[in-house]
Amino acid sequence: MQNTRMTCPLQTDNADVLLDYCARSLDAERTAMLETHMKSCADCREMAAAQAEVWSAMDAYEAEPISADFDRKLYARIEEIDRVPAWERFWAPIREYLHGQPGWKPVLSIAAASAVLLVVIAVKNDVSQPAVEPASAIVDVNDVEQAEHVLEDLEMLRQFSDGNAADSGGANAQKEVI
Amino acid sequence: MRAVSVIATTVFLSLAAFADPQPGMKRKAPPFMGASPEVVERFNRMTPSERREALQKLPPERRQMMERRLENWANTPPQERKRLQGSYARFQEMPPERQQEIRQLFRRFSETFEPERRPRAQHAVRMLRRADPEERKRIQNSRPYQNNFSEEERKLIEQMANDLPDPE
Repeated sequence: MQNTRMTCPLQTDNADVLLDYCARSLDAERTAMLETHMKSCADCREMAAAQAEVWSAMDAYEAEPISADFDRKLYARIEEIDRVPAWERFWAPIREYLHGQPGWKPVLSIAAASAVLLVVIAVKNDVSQPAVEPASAIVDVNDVEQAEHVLEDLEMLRQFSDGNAADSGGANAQKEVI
Repeated sequence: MRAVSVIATTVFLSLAAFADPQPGMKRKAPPFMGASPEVVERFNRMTPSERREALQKLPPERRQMMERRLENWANTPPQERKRLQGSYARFQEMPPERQQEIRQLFRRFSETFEPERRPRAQHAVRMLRRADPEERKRIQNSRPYQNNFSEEERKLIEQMANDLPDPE
């Protein structure tokens, strides 16, 4: 005689049998055995009823019908995204993120200001680099006048400098002064 | 709004950095004020044609004088050049008015002593400058000194010796 009794699937960690049953994929023999078991097992009945509810809800679901020009709109949208410059595609998610952050504006403006300042300093330094130019180009009228005055002062100091003792007439002068 | 004001401030500061410095902050000193022998060295480093170009705006007489002085400076032995630079630095440390007085005194000195008598007068100034007070008195009372120079000339020589910056 064939054994028609079934050990409770929930107690033997064999819930798959119940899930297959609800999915109507369990073979006939085991279906009959499970149904016999469920008559006396409240837990399995409850589990089977819950599963059946899920399955019937899924069966009842009907997808929203798509509009007639869905495909056209989709391709138009894809084309539009392709036309957006790469930097904008890169920047858009960051902007969206920053939009949600309360303190980003001062940080961004300071960063922009620093960048402007750096560019200005770099340009200024580049401008102040001495270019290779003839030496005469680096003197102006003021330099010429300054050099003239310096030479005049040096000439004056030279005349009374000790190093000038041997100048023309110096030897005779020494004898005759004292 | 805050971002705009930060950027505006930065742009203002950047423009200020490019602006001309205030007259008082200009690096080039006006004539007679803090000029350095470096400016002379710049002329010495020039090629003859560069120097001609730099001096072309001067009237011919001043140009010739400057060329002669540049030549003199270029031919000055290094040791003497160093001594003169030290002397010049001490002269520059004097107040501008004092420097101007000494220049005027030097002009009087050059006008008073004709070229043939000038070396003797210059030598007297040099001797008085390096003499101690006792030695100085002896020179001043010596017969050659008294005979060679008039009282006016002696005053000029002694003032020159007193006013010039220390020799060393």
